Amino acid sequence: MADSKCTARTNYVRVKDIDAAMKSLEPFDVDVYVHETQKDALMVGNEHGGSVSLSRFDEAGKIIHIGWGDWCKAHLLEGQILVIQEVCAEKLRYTSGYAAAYSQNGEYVCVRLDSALDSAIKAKFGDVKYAGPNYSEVVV
Amino acid sequence: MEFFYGTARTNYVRVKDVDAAIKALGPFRVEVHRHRTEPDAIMVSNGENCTLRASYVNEDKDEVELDWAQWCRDNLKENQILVINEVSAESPLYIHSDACAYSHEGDEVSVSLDEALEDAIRAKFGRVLYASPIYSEVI
Repeated sequence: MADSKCTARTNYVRVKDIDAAMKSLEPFDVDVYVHETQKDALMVGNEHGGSVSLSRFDEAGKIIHIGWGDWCKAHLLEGQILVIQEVCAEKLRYTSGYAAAYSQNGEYVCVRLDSALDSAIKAKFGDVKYAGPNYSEVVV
Repeated sequence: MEFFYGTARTNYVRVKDVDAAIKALGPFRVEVHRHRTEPDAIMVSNGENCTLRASYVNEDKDEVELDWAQWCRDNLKENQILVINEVSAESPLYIHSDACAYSHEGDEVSVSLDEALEDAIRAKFGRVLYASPIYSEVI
């Protein structure tokens, strides 16, 4: 039965101006949490399930994307790394995991769970064929 | 608000004897799914559990864990690779995702999303410190 669930959050990062950082996230469908004791630190999540990608529709119905790289350049304190993790599952069909990290210069790296496992399988077992753990693929 | 879910499934793998492979999983309360068109292929999902690291308590009150390496040695056809993907989340506190693979000889590799990202961060940014995206850590 299709039953899709997704959850996403960032780590807590320290920002130059907490009010400005929070205001910049207001237009987007994300939840922002200020740390209980570190008042210059915030975390972004999505309690409704889904993604923390920064996109929204403008008044004309056009989708607007704001990259996390630009947000990090504008707001992160020096030396901070923003980490994003997202997992999804549609029971019996697929599971997925995605993570990314951004420096205060806006540079980023990202990984996917299936790609990481594929690299590990190739390193351990060689160039074997195997069915992906999604949908109904079978390998001869 | 806070809620927890965990989902796990394998890929479809071909087994030597479908009935024996399913019977071996019987006590662990996982769900076994036969492929619609390939009669020797099955997939396993988490069923009542949030994970495929399942166990049960036997008649002697001992906890018996599901030994996937042994199951693969006993049941997989040659050259089949069993893959297990698991994701779990307690929104907005905690996210976890890992995967492992077993050969028909029972050899295993495993990865987790946070470790894979850590390797990528080290390769890209060097030995930087960063807060884990779990709970309330701040650097």
